[in-house]
Amino acid sequence: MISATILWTAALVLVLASLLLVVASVIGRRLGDARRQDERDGAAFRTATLIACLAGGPRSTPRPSPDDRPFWIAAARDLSSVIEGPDRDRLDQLISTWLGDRSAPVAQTREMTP
Amino acid sequence: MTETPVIFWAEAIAWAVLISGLAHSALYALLLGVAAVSLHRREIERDSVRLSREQHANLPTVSIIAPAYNEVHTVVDSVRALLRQDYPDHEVIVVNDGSDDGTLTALVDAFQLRPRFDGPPAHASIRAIYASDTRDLLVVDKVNGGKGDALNAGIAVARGRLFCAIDVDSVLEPDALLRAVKPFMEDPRTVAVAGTVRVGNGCPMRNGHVVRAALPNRLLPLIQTVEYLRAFLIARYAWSGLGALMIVSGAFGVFDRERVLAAGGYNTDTVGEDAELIVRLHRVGRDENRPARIRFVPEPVCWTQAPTRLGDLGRQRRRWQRGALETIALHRHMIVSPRYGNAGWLGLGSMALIDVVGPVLEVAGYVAAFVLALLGFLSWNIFFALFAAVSSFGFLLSASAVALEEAEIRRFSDRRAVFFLLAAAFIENFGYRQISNLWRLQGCWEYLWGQKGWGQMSRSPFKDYSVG
Repeated sequence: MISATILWTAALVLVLASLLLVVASVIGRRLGDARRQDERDGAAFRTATLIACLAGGPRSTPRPSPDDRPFWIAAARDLSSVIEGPDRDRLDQLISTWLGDRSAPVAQTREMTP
Repeated sequence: MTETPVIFWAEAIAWAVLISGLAHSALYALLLGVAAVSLHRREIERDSVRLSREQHANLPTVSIIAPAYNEVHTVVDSVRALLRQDYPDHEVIVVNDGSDDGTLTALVDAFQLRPRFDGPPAHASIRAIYASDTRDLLVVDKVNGGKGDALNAGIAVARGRLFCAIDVDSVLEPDALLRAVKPFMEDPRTVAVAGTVRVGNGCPMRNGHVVRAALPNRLLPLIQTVEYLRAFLIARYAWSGLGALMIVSGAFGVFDRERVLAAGGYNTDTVGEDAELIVRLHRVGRDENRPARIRFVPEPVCWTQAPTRLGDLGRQRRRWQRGALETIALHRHMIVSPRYGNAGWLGLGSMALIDVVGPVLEVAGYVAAFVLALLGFLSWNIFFALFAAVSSFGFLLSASAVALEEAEIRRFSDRRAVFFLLAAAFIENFGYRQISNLWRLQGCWEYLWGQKGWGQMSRSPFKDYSVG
């Protein structure tokens, strides 16, 4: 005999599981949105720093820590795809200097990168 | 009839429905798992400008083919939107399928088209071809022959290596082509790519493009929004991952023109020409030892207007059911032949299970259980508990699709959207699901009686908020 109790319990468990899934996804999205906003802010900061350096702005340039290197490379790649000529060459030079110069103080980079 | 055999049969039916329901549920649970893992693992470039820069050098020409039949009120705006795709090398081919409402005249006037004379017609039913001097736009005028025939005429005059088949009243997102073409560039075995079709009722539009994703403010299209999320984010994505995707929606799909021509083009004798083509591409590909890769990618989005009236929705669903049955009947041998791999036993097999066996069993189960409860052979407690268990599994699937949308796709900026979708997912179990199954049974009946044709459907146009 099919037990009504088992069926009701199954229905209840499934409904609760559904609600739990959706709540988890809403929380996940909010956390993810905050993280993505941080990433966007960081990317905007890096691009702005690179543009400022190209424009002859800050004399003391950031020296990326090993953890930050991929983000700076990505920012430089993005920027280099929309600039041309001498600016692009200077950007290549700039980023090679930053990433190649291991004597640079890492702390300075950490302060400048979000 | 004595009481004991009746109780035996009551229990037998209940168990049959329950076991088939569990098998059905297990299949969907598998699809859900595959889709969730695939969605989470996928690598996407959300920034379409960056995507364009990455792909720009190797992009193939794409011909957008939009069949139009009596679309005089919307066709000009739709074509303007298609011409504004963010894709460097695309042409738009509108196929006027024998409209008698002035669709052709509206197009010729709006885009200042001129007849093009280039020898004998590429397709038998073509009456004339009109071209624009300033834009990549062709209008093919032909005698009425149905959507499949119109698409074949469009393919015959297309110059692209790829073609995109869409409904002329659908709205493509500006980067949809760019995203849909990516799988072709990544894997040369790709023969067709399906994008996501989403319900656009309620979405604000500007200059022919959807400004932001919004929910419909009526229940019927809202429930269909959940249905579409479930169908695309779970079922199609999972089938694609398993190599058993058997349909690329007629509203939006991109195809390798040469492979489609080699397979014989669209079948003009079915109302399910979209599914039939995909099944045939699988079959011909396996027969010729060059398996067709059919992919689903969730990012390219096409917005469609879902029916807002029960009558229109019923006609659409009955037609879909007939189309599925025609396809299954035409290629049934694929289900049992190991030659066709996952596309055969799994893809077409599950299509038969879901589209043919599913609605029959579900309706039979409801009716049998109700009658038995009415006669006193089944307790009402068990009857309602069965209904609750079946409905709650349906709710779980819909809620999972909503959760995937929220966690992975994130189209709706309004935070309340998820709760409206959840409410619709709950409500659909009380009436909508049952009536959908009845439409499917009616579709089976119409198929058995050899009914053909699309039937008339009315759809509201998108609301455009463009200035001027």
